[in-house]
Amino acid sequence: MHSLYETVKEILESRRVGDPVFVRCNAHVALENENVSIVLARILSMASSWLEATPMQVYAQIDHNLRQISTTVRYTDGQTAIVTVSTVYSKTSLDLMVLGNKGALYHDAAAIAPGFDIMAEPIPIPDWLMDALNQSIRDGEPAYIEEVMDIE
Amino acid sequence: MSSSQQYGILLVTGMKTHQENYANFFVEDPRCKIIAVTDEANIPQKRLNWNKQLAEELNVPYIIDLNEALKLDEVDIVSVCSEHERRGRVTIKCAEAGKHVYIDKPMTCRLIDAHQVVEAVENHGVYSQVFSFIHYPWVRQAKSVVESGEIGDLLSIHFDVMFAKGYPGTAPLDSPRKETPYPQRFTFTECKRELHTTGVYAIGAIRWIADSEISQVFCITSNYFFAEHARNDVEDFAVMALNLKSGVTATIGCGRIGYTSHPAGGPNKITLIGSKASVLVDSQKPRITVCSNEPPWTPPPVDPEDPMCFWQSTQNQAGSRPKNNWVPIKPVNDNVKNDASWFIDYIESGKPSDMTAKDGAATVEVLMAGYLSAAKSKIISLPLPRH
Repeated sequence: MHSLYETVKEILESRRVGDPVFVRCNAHVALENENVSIVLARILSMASSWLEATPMQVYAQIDHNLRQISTTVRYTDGQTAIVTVSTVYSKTSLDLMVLGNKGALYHDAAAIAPGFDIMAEPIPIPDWLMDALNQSIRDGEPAYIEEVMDIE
Repeated sequence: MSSSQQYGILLVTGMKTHQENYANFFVEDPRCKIIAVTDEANIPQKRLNWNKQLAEELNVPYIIDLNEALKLDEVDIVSVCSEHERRGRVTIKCAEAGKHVYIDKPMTCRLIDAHQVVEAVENHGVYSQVFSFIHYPWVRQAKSVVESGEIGDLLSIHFDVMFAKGYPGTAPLDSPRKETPYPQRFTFTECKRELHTTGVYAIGAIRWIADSEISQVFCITSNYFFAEHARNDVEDFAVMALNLKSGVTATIGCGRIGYTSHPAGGPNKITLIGSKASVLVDSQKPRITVCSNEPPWTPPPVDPEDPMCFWQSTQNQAGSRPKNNWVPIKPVNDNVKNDASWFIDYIESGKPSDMTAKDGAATVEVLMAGYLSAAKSKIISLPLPRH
């Protein structure tokens, strides 16, 4: 089994691309038991770890049939991320770009390793992230993580 | 059309603008003839010199006062590349003189100016086109994918437009950018506002591909890469989340990311998600990757008058060679038209361009909503108040 999360993390920790500042990920997954929000939260958790930052504001856009979700995230130290998950593609693919302030790394959508499973990546999903996502989906507005955590 | 049966083209503003490219567009089209280069009469000496330089290169006269140049009967079309801040004023003057206007992007810096350009164009019955990505083959491919129905109903568009130019790694990262809600200045010698400069392409293309107006904007602007942008308090990068009236959603990542951040010119791609399938359209695919013992590509030396290497003339002057490890696979029928030739086609067919001044104004409105959103950290609904 390959771990995209750990491989990207190691490259970023080597500082080859400088300080990571932006993550763009478009994932197409064939879902069975999970819903798009959970897969998205998993990738967002990976992105936060790569950026070494905590989300501050999360804006989720989801289609009414729950087939795809996009999230635009502002982090506390100024980093940003856009993560999209869709279920309409029969084959898993993951198009990834991580920009550092001196370079970038890219993972082509078609280059996914056989058997790759986003949900098997060794990264936990914080409850507050799911809560923030759900709040933004429900309200149609960006959710502030601090407010979500205060409610908890 | 002028008596010579060619469209007479007047170029407003010269070197160190996109006119370097647009002039070549018109030169390449046998239906066009460059008449002169001109500009407003009161421009700084440096701008005047750059304008005269283009006139010399094209071997056409330089007319020192735009008002005089617009009196020439042989001028049919004006290509307007004045700096962002005065572009609206110049375009209005040209339209009021009854000339068709080919306008650099973004059309204006203020919404009120954009509306006035639209009024001038409509009141004087002239054709207009704002430069955009929509005539590029890869963007047209995205549109045709949507129109073919092969992905089902369009659900969302995810657009990246980033330019791999400039020397990155100099921006201070110690505090997040604080955006101003109503920016006044967009261009400097050493940098430009990059949401305004690069995001405009994605916004225009998204409206066109989805065939729908944008109704809500959420935006974050940033300083990630360049000290030049930070020093002038303008963004070098931005992300946007858009809601369209049709129900389609969209996201944009845009900006200038540095020479060393991409194997070619920068990520320029569109992911289309439909109800049946998804498609990734990449401006740099399909391609051949070449590996050889040639010396590795290196960026050109910094030119103090154009450190971001905005203009082709800077690259030519530096003798820099293009990145060439990725070679796009040529289409079988390589009859790709440039954007200006599309404009001539529209004029000849009697149909408005797919990117008129009205479309340019709609794009400016989204950009302005973007700055407001970034400053307030909230969603901005369109239309913006006219005042």
